[in-house]
Amino acid sequence: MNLVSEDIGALRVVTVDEARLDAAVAIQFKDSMRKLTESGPGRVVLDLSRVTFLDSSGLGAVVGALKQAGPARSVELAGLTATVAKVFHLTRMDTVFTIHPDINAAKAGLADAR
Amino acid sequence: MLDRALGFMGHARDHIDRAATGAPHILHLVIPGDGGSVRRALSTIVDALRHMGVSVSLRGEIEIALAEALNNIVEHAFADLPRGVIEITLERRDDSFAVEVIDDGRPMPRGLPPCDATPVLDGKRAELPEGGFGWHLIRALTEQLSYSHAGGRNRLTFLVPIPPRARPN
Repeated sequence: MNLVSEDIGALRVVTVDEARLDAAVAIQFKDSMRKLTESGPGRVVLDLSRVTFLDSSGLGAVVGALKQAGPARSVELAGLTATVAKVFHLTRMDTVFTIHPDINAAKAGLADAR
Repeated sequence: MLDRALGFMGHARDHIDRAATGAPHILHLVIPGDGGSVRRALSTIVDALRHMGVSVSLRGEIEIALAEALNNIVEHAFADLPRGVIEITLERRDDSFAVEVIDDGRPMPRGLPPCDATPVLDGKRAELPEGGFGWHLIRALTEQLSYSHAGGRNRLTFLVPIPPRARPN
C-alpha cells in the first residue's frame, strides 16, 4: 500500500499510488490513513486518480478513514476514475464526501457539482 | 452453459471458447478459493473482456459484481474451512453477460442471498457504515440473480446487462 503525503499550506494531499483499493489492501490503507490524519492540516484530500478499481472493502476503508479522522478534520476526495465513481454513486457515498474532479480543483476549493 | 454439469478441477484451469466468428464468447476459470487467486482471476477476466472489445464502463460493472460475489465466497463460504475451489463462467449473450459462480463452501445463511439493504447514510459521521455494501452493489449492477445449494455446492447466477448502444448489431 503506497500512500504519498504532501502538505500544501493548510491542505494535506494524500495520493493513493495503487491501481486497486480492494479487500487485499483495505486494512493497511485504513491504518496508514490513521497515521496521516492524527496530526497536521485539518483539511485532507485523498487523490484517487491512480485507483482504477475499488470494491466494497476499499469503500469501507475510505469511509473508515473519514470516521477515524474525527469531527475536526475533513477528508475529501479527488480524481475518481469511472469505476470508482460508480461504486460511490451506487452506494450513495457520493452524498457523504466532498468530491473534486481533480487535485487542482481541490486546491482551488472547488467541489464537483452534484 | 448454465446447466452444464461441470466437475471441479484440483488446479487452476483456464478455458476460452471461440465462436464460429473467432470471437471468444465464453470465459471459464477454476481457481482456488483464496483472496490472491480471486484477484488474479479478476485481472485475467478483465483482460479477456478488453480483448473481446467490451467497453471500460461495462468491464468495470462486471468486475465489481464479480469481485463482490467472489470476496463473499472467500470470506464467508470458505471461512474456517480448508481452501475450496471456485468455478467462474462468463457467457456473452446479445444483451447481457451471463455469470455463473460455483463453490464448494458453506451454504448461505437460511439458504438465501442477502436482500438488497440500501446503506443508511443519514446518521452522523461516526455512525456511517463501513460494510454491508457488497450485496447492494451486486444487486444494483445485475438482473435475474439466482442462488441455489445442491450436492455440496453453491451456485450463484446473474446477468450484467449490456447497454443498448454497446450491443452487437
